[in-house]
Amino acid sequence: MSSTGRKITLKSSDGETFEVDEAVALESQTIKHMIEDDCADNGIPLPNVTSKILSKVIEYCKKHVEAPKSDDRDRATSVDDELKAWDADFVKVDNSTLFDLILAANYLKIKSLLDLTCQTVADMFKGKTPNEIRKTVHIKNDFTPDEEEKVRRENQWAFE
Amino acid sequence: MDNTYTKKTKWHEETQMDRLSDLPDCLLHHILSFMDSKYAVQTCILSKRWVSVWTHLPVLKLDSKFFNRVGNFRSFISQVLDHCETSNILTLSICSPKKNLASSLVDKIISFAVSHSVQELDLSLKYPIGDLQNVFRCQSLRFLKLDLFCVLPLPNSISLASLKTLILCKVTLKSENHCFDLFSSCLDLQNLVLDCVFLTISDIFNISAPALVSLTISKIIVNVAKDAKIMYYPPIKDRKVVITAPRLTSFSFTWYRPVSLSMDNSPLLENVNLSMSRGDLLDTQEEGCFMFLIDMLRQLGNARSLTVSLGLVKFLSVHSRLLEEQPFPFSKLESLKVVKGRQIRKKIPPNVLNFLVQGTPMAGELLAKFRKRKRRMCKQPMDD
Repeated sequence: MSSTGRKITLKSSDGETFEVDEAVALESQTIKHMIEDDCADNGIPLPNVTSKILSKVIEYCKKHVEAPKSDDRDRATSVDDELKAWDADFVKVDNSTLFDLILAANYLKIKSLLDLTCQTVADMFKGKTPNEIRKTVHIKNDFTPDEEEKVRRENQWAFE
Repeated sequence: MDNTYTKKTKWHEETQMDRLSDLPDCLLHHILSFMDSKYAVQTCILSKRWVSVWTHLPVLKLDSKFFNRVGNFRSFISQVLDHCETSNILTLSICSPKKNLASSLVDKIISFAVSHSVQELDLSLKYPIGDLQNVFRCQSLRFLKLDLFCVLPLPNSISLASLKTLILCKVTLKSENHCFDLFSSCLDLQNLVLDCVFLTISDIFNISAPALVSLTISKIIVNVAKDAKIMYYPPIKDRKVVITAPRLTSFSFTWYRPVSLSMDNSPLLENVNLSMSRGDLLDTQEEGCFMFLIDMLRQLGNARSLTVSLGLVKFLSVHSRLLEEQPFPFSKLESLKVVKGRQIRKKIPPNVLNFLVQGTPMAGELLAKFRKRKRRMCKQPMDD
């Protein structure tokens, strides 16, 4: 049973409704402003977010709201580590879901989720050659060999 | 069923969309902001879409560790600054702790920060020479960290109206003013860190900041300049540091060479973290050292949460005879921790424990907490 007051209804783009505690919904600045502007009475429509992604976002927000803000500072560091490990697991998804989460976090203005998902993509680039990066995220190389060589030469100073 | 699945996966892989390049520029920038600039710039080679994405990146993090030759790093810095096409930079961070940068480059970096309204500036340089004082003209700054290993030229007063966090590491601050008061014009300053800072004062070093919430002083050395001479081991009473921070809630202090600390009026002080670093032998042999420490503890008497290092506890216990004569410094303590580095220690000599805890409303519980832990460590079965 939830301990805190109101429930907020969120509606995904494909018509599913999700009921969440207000505290969880408030993790999103976008939803927070809608609630403050009194637009939340009949549920909040989120036309940019599918039910699949919305349920993941809700899972994230729930976990982060429930994370014990321990007053006992002895335990504080292990709680942080636990949450970090949970986050690391949370982003072990296919690329398509990851990019959907980025767009959703951006639209819903959930800073910590946006940072987490963007950091995950940045980490995909680490230690890879441009070709390897292209393969990982499916970027089509639309340069001709000459054009690519030209860009590389112009920015030689970054390719030490 | 297996065949269809493999066919589907193959088709899926071949026609995988490049969802990344479809993201708007602002999101690509956010992703690139988590990378060192060397790799962010290298994205220009990925495809035509990516050629100039990095030139509008508002977060620039340049680190010499990704370059084998310092010459290459220097030209990298110069080129990045030249090619930057956005006039509002959120973060500029340049880390070159082992490789010298020419003074013209240092000047260029600081000019860039000023002209591009940098909000967070983090410079970790080795003996920089240049017009460093211009840093204090950068009115857009909200966060400033300088780790420089040099004498930092200072204005009379740092007046950066938006500055919330200031971190000064490994710098020498000098002033001939009787009242060395650097921070009082930073009306928004909330966090101040002084780490390995040499102060050459003529009378008093003032840390006065109306909005300051958190203060960390880790290893400062106070020298006194009198009659054009510098005294490197002035009497402790002359090493005056006065803190005026009415909103202060957190204070962290690493005792290296003793100072005479005066904390005027910090009624909101809650968290205090004290440790002792193995400072000069010459100084710690001075007798007054113990009394100055006791005096400091007394001034921090409002603290609710106290963390002390094992080194500090040992120092107090060595002077147990003097300790017994002192009035108890703390009156509101609710939590006590003893640490060595990051590890929590569960043992504390009883006379020190007594000294810290008696007179506080939760004395009973705190005493029990440390005793209980000691008991758990015994292999004998519990008696009651």
